Amino acid sequence: MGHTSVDHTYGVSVGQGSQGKLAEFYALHADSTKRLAFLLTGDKELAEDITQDAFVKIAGRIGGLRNRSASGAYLRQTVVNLSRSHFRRKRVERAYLHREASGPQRESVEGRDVVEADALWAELHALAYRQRCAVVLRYYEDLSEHQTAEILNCSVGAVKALTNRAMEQLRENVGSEARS
Amino acid sequence: MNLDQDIRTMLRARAEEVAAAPMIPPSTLRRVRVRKTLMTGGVAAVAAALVLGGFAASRSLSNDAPPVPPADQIEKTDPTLPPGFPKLTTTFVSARNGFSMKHPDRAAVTPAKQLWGFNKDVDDGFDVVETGLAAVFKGASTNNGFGGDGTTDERVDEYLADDTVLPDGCGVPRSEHAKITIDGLSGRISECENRIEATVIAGGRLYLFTLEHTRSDARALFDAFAATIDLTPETAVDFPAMATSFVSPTYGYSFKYHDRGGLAPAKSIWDPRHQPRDSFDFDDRFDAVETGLGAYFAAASTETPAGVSIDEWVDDHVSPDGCGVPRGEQEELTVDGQPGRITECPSRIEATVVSGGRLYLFALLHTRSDARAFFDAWVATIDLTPETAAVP
Repeated sequence: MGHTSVDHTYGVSVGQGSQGKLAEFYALHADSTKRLAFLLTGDKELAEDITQDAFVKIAGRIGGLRNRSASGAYLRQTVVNLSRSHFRRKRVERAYLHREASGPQRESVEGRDVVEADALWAELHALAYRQRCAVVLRYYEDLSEHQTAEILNCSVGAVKALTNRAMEQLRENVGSEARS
Repeated sequence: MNLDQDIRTMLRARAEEVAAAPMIPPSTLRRVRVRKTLMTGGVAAVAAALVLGGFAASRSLSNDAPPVPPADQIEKTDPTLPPGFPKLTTTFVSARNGFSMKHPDRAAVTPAKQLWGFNKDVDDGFDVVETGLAAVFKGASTNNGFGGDGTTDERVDEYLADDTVLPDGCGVPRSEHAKITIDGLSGRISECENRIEATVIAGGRLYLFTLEHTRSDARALFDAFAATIDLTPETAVDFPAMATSFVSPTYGYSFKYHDRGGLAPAKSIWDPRHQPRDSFDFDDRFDAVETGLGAYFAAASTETPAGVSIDEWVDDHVSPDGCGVPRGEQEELTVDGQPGRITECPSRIEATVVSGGRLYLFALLHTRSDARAFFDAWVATIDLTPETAAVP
């Protein structure tokens, strides 16, 4: 994942439970995993947590994958799912805390390493989670629409729609901020 | 503006800001092991059920359904146990942590190897009961590091916040935990995803019991285990396990100790025939281990002179006052199968034993209330090899 192309070397080894091989797998994928998590969440500490959670999950399951080269994709999907779970939890917490009373919140506000000067980064994290996923997977991971659809568990058409709406929103908001 | 290019550039630049921990953190490795244990146990149980026949293969671990054990182990009458969970019939007595509990006969128990929080591998401090049914019960206790200011809840939170202790009350302050009763004492319990943790204090000792699981009925299972727990803080061990071997290059013995950098082999020769001891100190004539835990071990040996009474010679030359008890009247003990004598003062324990024509002295200077148990544990590791002594 994330500009790494040697997934196939480690698939079975990790599944066999070898700590040494797991360490190799980690060394190969940890950075790219955390970067994806960071782009999806905007929070470096949370990204580290998600990275570790992802390796815990994949260490026990990857051996069952028929296609060894799928380890990277599986890891990528795990990060996307864990990040989504985080935002779901945050929504529940907000509901309990009645924070909605202060108006609609942008997910980019809480606990993020957002540099306000970087409008594009801020607007990315104002997108709905699935829109943001689509943008990151298409523009950072360079995945095809089909690959992105698999990870987001939706149709290729839905990926196109998510991406288009996201880019329109970014174009509109970043453009308006630039004008103001 | 070329938004496509801008977004690519921005994402790449942002991604470069972060890097993962260079190596797999120990906490992640622990979680991998626990997860593997849970999954392996669950799979094995499902397989057993299938072999016995009649269990629907469509049930999987992921749906959180409890695997079914062999029919003869299914509890039919105890309402405290989750349906299908085997009886808690076998008693485990912790040799370190000061409690006993019951578990299914088929469970695999790994006793604690070390003081809780003393080894890098935190699990070494826990007595671990692997049920093989997607649930691992653990128990540990301590009276170290549990002091300080603040309320009991705050002190527990502070102790559990230590990375070498784990876990962490599921991230919720203890004062906000629900209450639970363990062995008649009021404790606290917290539940988080795949883990339940309970703390209780008995005899000034903090106990932690956890259940790591992938079961939907985990709380009922935890309560069933907890109901069998007897807390016996008076039996807990608060000194570290001794696993590192030291072979004296001088005095003809070996022993084990806990390596924290406190080993100091003798630099000169102990010769009580010509250097009768006139103090209670043990200088560089002795092999010594500074434990850093209010305990200082010292040892040496020397040839016994011919034609003398060992008891009188020890009283005159080896042990200055024998804690006020002549050697001939001291308590007997055995060191590596050899009969010897032991005497205890308020801050000092000394044992002497003769083997192969050599008089051995093993001593402990201490400020501990459990010094005798600590000393006995050390003595149990001693091998006497008088033939290897390098000095008279």
